[in-house]
Amino acid sequence: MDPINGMLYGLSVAVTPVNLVAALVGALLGTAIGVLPGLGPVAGAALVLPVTYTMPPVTGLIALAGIFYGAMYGGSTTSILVNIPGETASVMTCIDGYEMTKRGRAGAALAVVAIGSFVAGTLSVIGVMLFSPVLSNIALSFGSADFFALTTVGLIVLSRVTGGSFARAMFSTVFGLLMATVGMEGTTGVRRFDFDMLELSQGIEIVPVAVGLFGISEMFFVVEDIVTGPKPLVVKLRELFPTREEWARSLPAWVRGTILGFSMGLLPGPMNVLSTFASYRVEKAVSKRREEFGHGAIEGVAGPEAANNAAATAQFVPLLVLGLPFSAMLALLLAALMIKGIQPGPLLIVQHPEIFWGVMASMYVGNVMLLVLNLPLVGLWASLLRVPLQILLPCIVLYAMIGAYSVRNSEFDLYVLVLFGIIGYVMRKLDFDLAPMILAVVLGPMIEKYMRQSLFLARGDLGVFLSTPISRAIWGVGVLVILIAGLRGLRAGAPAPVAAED
Amino acid sequence: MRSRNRAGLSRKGKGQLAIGILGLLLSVGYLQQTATTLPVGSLSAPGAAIYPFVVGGLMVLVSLGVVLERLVLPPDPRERPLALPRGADRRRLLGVVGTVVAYAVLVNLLGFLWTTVLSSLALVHLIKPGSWRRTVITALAISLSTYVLFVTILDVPLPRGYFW
Repeated sequence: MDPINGMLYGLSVAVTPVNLVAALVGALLGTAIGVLPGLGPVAGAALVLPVTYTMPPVTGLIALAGIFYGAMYGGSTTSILVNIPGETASVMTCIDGYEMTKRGRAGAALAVVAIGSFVAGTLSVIGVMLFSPVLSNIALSFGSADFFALTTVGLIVLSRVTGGSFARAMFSTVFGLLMATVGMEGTTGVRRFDFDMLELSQGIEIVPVAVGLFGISEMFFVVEDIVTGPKPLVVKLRELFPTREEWARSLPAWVRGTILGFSMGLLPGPMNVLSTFASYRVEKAVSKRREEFGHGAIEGVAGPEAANNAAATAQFVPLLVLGLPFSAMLALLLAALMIKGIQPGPLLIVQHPEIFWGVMASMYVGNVMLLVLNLPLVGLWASLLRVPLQILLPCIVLYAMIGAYSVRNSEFDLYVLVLFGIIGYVMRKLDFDLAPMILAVVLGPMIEKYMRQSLFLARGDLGVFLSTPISRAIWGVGVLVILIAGLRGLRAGAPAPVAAED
Repeated sequence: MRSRNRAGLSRKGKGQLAIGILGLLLSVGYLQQTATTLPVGSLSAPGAAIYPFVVGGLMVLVSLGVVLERLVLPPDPRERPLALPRGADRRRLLGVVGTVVAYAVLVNLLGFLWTTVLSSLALVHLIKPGSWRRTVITALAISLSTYVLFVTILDVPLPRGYFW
């Protein structure tokens, strides 16, 4: 299927009633998750994950993708209205977005975000149409040794890019790999490290781990330091329209942000976050009104938001074509696919065109829905911020408990949830990055499969791991990353963490 | 870095050291389990133990890395000191942690409904101490709406205890 027909086919999948509802519910839930404190997008998506098990794969994935971009939109809403970034990708939006609110232009800022996401979404979908088939064709020539190199080096690079100390990031990663070995292994069906416990023999369930690490631990952070933030303003509908000047200044920023975000999103790392930092710097550098930045420059909102959205869309290319998730959130999407027995990879476009093109098209449709729905609903989202903590936090605890329990009706998983809540809190306090852990839990079984496959096919020859030019090139990159990290660590300590988690 | 004590390590450094040592202990136990319980197979027909051996070995390396980073390298001057809550904040945090742990333990015994009511009471009181009447009403409203949403509407099977 050529890209244009693929996209048309995808649209036909995305606009079926059930998939439209999935995208809508996902996007609205995601926005609420992005707005509310104490429950980040990763924990929110993990809670929805078991619900998607009962759906057809494409519908479940569309709902999860909806949560993903909905949460980004919600995060920007709180950045602009109350100066609290709902998630790390909207930190940059706070700077000029909240300044605009103070000057009475909150409505325009929100509109610039929504329209910018739409513009970025549109352009990125075109980018995806151009890139995916090319990448997929290249990846078709990959053997298991190449995939082994790709997944392993991918994990190393990812834990490196999130910043912080290399040793601590690798600790999180390997701990995740270790957890993933618990339970029955896929190749020969041997039960490992289960201590004769039925629950452990089925492996450690990802939902309680992710909700514990990212939801319960976040809630601990909220309760230890309760602050009453500023009350959000009431934004009227007619204030939502940007002025002619605001339009003129936003448009080039959107385009620059999109191009920057999309190209960065194809690289490993939490690029939807990093691209917002880069875009802000670019906007400031090219602007004729540099002095306005930090005081409500609309480009400072338009650029990073477009970059964030474009990068998020672009990240679906490596996820679906190579099976490589670049953030904790995308790792959950990968888990949702694998539960359904669908192997993401170069063959996905051919074998499951409805998933690849359907999800891509639904992200586009979802952005249109967000544009139409969220601007009028901005009052509702702002009022969610007024829900008092003594109501919100008990609800989050209860939903987390019910969500963790209901995956396989197991009380054991409640202990896992609480344990990982505490582990997450302690490790975050001690500057350990948690995102690589979730990535490793999801990727671990694949890494093992590729490793054993390669050995089997090469009859035990260890040289197989470096037998192809592709694998040698990928390992070369991995070694380079480790060397640079090591040198930096020895020279001046580790660089400051850029993004604690995604 | 703040408050380097006589041992030369900040509180955060000590914590990281402790995690590294825990990681070492974990990897030793893990490797021991791998060696004693799993079939190794051969390189051409790798058994279930091969990959855990690699992961366990890596765990030893990264744990040593975390330990050595703290013992050998100079501390990063940009590192923020460990911020632990004090006073009322600490009591609130410990109360909430206790409630969450108690929830997981009690739900087997009391069932979903009663555990939910009790933990909501505790959480509401911990987060915003106020009049008992208000606490009880808020907690009951939370429990009831959760019950209606998940049990009545969504029909999620939830644990039943001895009393329900």
